[in-house]
Amino acid sequence: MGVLGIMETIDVPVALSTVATESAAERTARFERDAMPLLDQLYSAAMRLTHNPQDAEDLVQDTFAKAYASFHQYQDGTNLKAWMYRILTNTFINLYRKKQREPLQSDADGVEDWQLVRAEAHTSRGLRSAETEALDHLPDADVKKALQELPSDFRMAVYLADVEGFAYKEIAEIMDTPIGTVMSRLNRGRSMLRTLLQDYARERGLIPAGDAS
Amino acid sequence: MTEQVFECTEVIARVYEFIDGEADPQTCAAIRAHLELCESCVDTIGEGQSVKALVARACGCESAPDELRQRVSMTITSVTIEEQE
Repeated sequence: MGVLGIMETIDVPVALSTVATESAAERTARFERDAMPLLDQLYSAAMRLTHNPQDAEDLVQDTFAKAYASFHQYQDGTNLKAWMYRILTNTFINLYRKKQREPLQSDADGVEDWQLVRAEAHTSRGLRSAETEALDHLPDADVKKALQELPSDFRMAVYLADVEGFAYKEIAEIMDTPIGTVMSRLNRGRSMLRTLLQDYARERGLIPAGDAS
Repeated sequence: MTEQVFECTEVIARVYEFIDGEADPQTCAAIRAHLELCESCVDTIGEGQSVKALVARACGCESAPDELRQRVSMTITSVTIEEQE
């Protein structure tokens, strides 16, 4: 493998001794090179979590300050984005969720996940494909609004899976929860999301109101 | 060769695992075999994929304000200076 190949491979670990002995200036340079490019992505996530730009900015600021303060603990070559997201999620839970007094979500409300999907399966075929097509015409603002309506645990799981493309295992680590809980949050969150989006599509006349199932 | 074919309920229970690329190869094969026979489940999968694509399209890609970028850079720089002193 050529030099370029090594540089492009993210899972090449820097020797731990290098990290342990790096100067503050070197660590700053490493942080600026590797973590700073994630600023826009983490700000997007913070916007979805906090609902408003000022809180999103504060959340991102806190996240980067914490990440920098413990950057010596971060092992080069492991998933930096997931590591940063975990700090973001923890910071959000500790600071902002308390402030927003959002009721805690219960994962056990007695409805099986497959039943939520099952209910949809009875709608007629032509109507379903028309509805699915109608969703594509919704403006981005409606999709953001629908995501915002979800409880924050569901919203975060859906965001991490769909926007960031994290694997279930990574989401479980970021949200510090078992994989089964991640799957349950995704199932419920997406079912709620689909219902909301269909409502918005009807309100906008994209789906004829008479066809409401 | 006996290939497993799922029932509707088995497919519906695994829709998101399938869409998210988390289902193992045998499960994927059993789902695909079912989809060849069942239009309703094709629609269910398509619906899930549409919503996922919609979220991906609409919910990321905010740009951090310049002011935030500067605030974060200043925090990092000031911590570094304190450490060096």
